[in-house]
Amino acid sequence: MLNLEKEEKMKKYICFISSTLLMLNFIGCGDNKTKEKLYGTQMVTSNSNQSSTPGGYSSTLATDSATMVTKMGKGVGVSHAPSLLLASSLVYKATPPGMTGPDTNGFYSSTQGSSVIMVKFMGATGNTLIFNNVTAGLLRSLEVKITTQYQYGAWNGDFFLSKSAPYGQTDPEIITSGTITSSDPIGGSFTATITAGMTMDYITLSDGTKMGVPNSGSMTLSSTSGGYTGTMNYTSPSLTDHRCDGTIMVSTTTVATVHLTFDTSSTNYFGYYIDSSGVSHNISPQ
Amino acid sequence: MRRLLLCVAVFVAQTGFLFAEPLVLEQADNVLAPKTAEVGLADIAYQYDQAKITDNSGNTVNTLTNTAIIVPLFARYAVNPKLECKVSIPYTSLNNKSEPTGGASITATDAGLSDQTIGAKYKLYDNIWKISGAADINVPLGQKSSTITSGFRNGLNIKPAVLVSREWKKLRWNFNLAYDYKSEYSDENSVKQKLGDELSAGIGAEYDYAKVKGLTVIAEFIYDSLQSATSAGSTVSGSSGSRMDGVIGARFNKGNIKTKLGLDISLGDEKYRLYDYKIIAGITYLVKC
Repeated sequence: MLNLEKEEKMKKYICFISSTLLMLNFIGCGDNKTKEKLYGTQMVTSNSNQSSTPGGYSSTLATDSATMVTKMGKGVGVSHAPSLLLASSLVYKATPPGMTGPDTNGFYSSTQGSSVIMVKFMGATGNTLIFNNVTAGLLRSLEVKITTQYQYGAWNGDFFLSKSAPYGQTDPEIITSGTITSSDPIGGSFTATITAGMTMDYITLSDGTKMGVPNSGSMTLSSTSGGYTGTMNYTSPSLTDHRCDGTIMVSTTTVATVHLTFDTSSTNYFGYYIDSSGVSHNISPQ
Repeated sequence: MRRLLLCVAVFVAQTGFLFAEPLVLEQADNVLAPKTAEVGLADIAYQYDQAKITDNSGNTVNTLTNTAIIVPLFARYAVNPKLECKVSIPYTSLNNKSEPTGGASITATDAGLSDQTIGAKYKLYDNIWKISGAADINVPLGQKSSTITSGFRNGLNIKPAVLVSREWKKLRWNFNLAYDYKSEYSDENSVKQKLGDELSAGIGAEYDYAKVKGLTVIAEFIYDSLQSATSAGSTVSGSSGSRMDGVIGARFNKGNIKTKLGLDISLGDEKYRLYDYKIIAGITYLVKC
């Protein structure tokens, strides 16, 4: 009798529980559409460009990469050394980066002055990520395309960067490959190729911006006219001392040796080069 | 004999009242008899949220689906008739999915120990109206997630509350007013984050289902006012708002075993919902110390 009573009670309880669970069927009818969604401190939003853009912290990576700027060293004849500055990473801002996209190839784009910067976010297997805070942790590599103007004309850059950990502030960002094509002062064009494995240090500029500066690695130069070639080596004896040293050659003859040091106030390299006659020429910050 | 029956009746009535307990809200009275401990899994939860991010034309550009399973190891102890203490150690499994329209979906998952909660409740007034003061502290000892930022660990949050209960019209009514102060913390990327403080007001009613002894039917309504969040020192635009929750469910207590099952439906603007719905369950055991 007691067992029957218990059984009956349990049936009623389970029946009640089941009836509450049935309500789940109706919940699916709810309207889940929204233009913005708050996740903790992160706001995922869609912008007026009718595309989903990252917001909040997720915008950081877009901003990081959007601010990746490559500048040319001040011209010293053909030996002007493209000094690669990655005004990159980890500019932590809560405001959206003003990027649009992604396009059909997965690139978000941003126009900054005369520069157009396009960034594609990729996961561990090279898969394209649509960026938001949900996917931030999956980010392992970036492709950055830059089209910009410098004092001698236009140049285009295409870089691949990898990270050992997702958007870690302290882990080195490594450029696995990068190519810059440009016109040189003589009127031809050159290609600068970054040797895989270039590592970056992150330094803080006076305005608080974090900037990536090459810590180690090298870059080769090759002009399509004039027969110039060159090699630039990046070293960093300390966190406040970032150097770029190299040679510019015509055939097998060295026409210039270049010695540059990164200047945080001008966010560029300066120093000097020695021409084939042994005369030293200063290269001032831009 | 009559005295004995009276004693039994009083004991049963008192035990029943002590066992009676809301689902999500807190009652003003002690839950336990003095020198009694409650251990088990008190607030097991499965929560589901889907948000469709739309453009200006109303077209869905991305569908974000988040689910979480939370299994907290729970312990509560009644120090005396006025004071109860509790601790909760949750294990959480997260699954976040992003499905861009026309693109490949991406899923991020992680599981681990989340921030612990310690709390205490002290009875201030005990008559027809019962009033207590309580405080919960979020102890940021949850593990760091490599895939979902702030998934398990937040800041040292403090949530003082005023709890009011009384019986009226065969129902037990519970009123809660709480302010959850969220402190700033550094997330997995050393970025300073501060969730928005929350002012919560809740009302709930419990009804003892006469045909099944030990079964209590419960309905609750909770309103949360959200303050602005900050990230890296900047206010997150649009993060201030409100959300509501409607909760229905039941508790069934038998001997030293307490069970509960409920359904929490999030109401209001999708933008601020933590989940669309949450299933709550619990099974705990009472131990006389």
